[in-house]
Amino acid sequence: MQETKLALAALTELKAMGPARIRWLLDTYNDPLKILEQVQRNKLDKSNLPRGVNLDLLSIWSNQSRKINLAQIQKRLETHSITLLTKQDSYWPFEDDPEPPAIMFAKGNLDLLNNLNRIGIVGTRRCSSIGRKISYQFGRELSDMGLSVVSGLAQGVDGAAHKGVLSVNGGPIAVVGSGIDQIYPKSNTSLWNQVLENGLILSENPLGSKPEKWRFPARNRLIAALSVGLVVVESHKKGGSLITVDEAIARNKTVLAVPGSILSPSNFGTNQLLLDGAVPVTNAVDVCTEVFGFNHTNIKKLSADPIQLDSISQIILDNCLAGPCHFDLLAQQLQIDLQSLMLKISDLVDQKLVSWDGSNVVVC
Amino acid sequence: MLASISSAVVHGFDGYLVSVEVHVSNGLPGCNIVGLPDASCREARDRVRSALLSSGFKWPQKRVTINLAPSSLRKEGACVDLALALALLAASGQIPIESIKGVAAVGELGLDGKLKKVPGLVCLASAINSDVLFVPAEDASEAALAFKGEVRGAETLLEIVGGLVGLSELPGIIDVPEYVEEVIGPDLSHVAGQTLARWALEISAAGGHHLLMVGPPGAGKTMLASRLSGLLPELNNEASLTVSKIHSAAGLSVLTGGLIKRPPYRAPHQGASMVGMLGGGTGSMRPGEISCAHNGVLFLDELGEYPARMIDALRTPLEEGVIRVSRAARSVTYPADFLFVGAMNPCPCGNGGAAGKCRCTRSARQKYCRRLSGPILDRFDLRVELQPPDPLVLFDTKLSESSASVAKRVSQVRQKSLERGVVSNSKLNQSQIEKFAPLNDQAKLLFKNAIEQQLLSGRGFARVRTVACTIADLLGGRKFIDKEIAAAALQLRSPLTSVFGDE
Repeated sequence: MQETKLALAALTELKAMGPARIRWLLDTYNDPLKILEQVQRNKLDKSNLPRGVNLDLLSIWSNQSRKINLAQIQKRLETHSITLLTKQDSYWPFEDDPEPPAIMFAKGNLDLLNNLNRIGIVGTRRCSSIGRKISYQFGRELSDMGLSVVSGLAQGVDGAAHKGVLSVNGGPIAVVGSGIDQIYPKSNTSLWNQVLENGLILSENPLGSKPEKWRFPARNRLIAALSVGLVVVESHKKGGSLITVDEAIARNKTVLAVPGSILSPSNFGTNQLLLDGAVPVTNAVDVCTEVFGFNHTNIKKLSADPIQLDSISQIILDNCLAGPCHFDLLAQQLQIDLQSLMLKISDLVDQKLVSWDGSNVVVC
Repeated sequence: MLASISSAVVHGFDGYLVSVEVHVSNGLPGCNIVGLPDASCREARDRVRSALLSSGFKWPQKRVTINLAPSSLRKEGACVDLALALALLAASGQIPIESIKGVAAVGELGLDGKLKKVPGLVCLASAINSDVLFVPAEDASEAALAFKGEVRGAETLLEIVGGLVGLSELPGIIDVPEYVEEVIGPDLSHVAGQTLARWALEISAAGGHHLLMVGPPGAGKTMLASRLSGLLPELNNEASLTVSKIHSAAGLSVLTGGLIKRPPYRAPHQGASMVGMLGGGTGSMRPGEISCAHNGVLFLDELGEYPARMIDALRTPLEEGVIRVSRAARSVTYPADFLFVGAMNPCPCGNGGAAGKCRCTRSARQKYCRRLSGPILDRFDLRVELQPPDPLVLFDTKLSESSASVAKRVSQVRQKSLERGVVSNSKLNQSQIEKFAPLNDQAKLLFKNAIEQQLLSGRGFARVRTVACTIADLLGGRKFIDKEIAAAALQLRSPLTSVFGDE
């Protein structure tokens, strides 16, 4: 691995060293190795420091950087099979970005970055089961149309979008707020591993970074930067996904939102976006039409083969579209043998149309 | 002079025969009890002395040695008082030695010579093998249940002595109480709605499968659980005696009439101590709640409120059907083969994360559910989530199916299990399942998928097949476990992800 890249990776580990400060250092000194050396010897030009950087911080940097061992960093990266991306790489997706990261840690299938038709799907972690279903469906359809789906591997909307992509054997791209070796949230461990296996995980944070609060707005900016269009599935009034929206607007990206009930708190944010001029979308075709124009050549037609259901399965499905539906209700309504009803539900679960949660039938 | 008489003590939940020997000889006046008596048993000396004096007898002014044989067995409690008094009267020549031949006695003495009841009379009586057994009149019928000879119940010491020497009639023989049909308890017909939970309850009763019910307050979990023991068939003779002995040893009243025939239903409160739940104790060992629920139902309401340690302690008994209580002094093995029924709310506020209703934070919900460890959860073969009943159902005046009609189906399935050589389908082992409940190809595929998706552990797979066997038995007329039954068994073992899952 190139020494300059390692030096950059090392710099990210310093206290309060964000992408803006690394950019400042690069602009001033150009060569990362030289920067590292100057930082170590506390020989940076002290006349022209940016806001927030003072002499104390410089001496802290100096102390921290002297403990840095590039070989060790390289070894750690190699054991985790993590690739470093900088603007010299052909894969670099932040060419014209106003606030590009200095360096990206990447793990997984890098070739996915070759697909430039990237759509971001974001939304609240505390989404409704319908939101999860919508997110899953968008992920699934967009991926099926040959687009690349970017999200944040969080709970709720993010995770569902990735799952949707995985369901059609697509390669999801996830930008995470922790270090790439720190699985967060822990409950997403299996999803995290599936994304690694089939897709790509990106992070601008050094290895071992804890999922601190301030890292997430920065992560949101990267999702906005990567995407051509940004779909907001569900958002609370002051949700974190609105930060992503702001970043997207700042970058002149198309913002799309899924309309929802005016009574559901998890739709307040998205409905407000629609009022403010975001484009309403109800399916993947809407997204493509808006972002790429309908006859975009790179896009496959949505492989439409609606699943044929018998009447009972259809009733089950209809019942649970509005929310989880308890077994008792179905049994009461359908008046068939309990075990036959169980079989119908089991078949629907097999087709991944619903899931069996507690004793409720829930749409996936 | 030497006199001896039979008595018994309780150890664990079994009675043990004790021979009470009294030797009165010349020497410095005094009295010694040997043969490993504990404090309460040693106090017998003082009680018996006062009882004799107040009944008008003399305490010998001689050297008295009392031996409780076998001396290897530790004796607890006051149950040998009466035997001791009779042997002492004979040894000191106040009554003829022949008069106490073939006689056994159990009971505590008051200082006034009155007889008092002792716990575990069923166990004590079953251990003694004499012609006549004298017991306190108060619960003499309990002894009559388990004793082969004649049981005579007396109010006072004097009554017995008078009868023995022929001055008055012997106290009356107590007959085995006639079996009174026990009230089965509340009926299932009063439970409205809850189709799924009722079905699960029926399967649980039919196959002896542990059941977990999760649902908001007022959904009817407790109502359903309290009706479970009414669905179970009556105990057979052997089981009935064991249960009666345990209850007797625990100091619970055994009798409404005869031995306990109905499977017991125990619902200890969350405040129960470890010892109260599992058995043990500092003074005398006592069977715990789980042993009192042997051959019956142990219902833990609000499972999340019990200490996690206590719930986890149930793991071995659930697996082995016994609990080994070990203390420094000794250890006892109590039977504890119970049908475990748990009920809990999905979260502290009870609304289980329902949007707009639940007032719990995510972490509060997780903490609540973490009380139930994975291994314990894995032992529930049936897990259902209840929802508050449909208001329309509550207004429906039509009664649901009654306990009696469900119990009929349950007993048919239990009969089938007995023919297979087990008490209930939940006890079927691997080869028996293979033999009695083979899977067809579709069912195999369904289970295979579930295992691949990590919805089933190895143990889970074996358990879910026993449930499938029970469902098939209930439906009747199926040679194979087909996909329908497999799907039902699998979904009745819901992972309850909304409650216990991490998302």
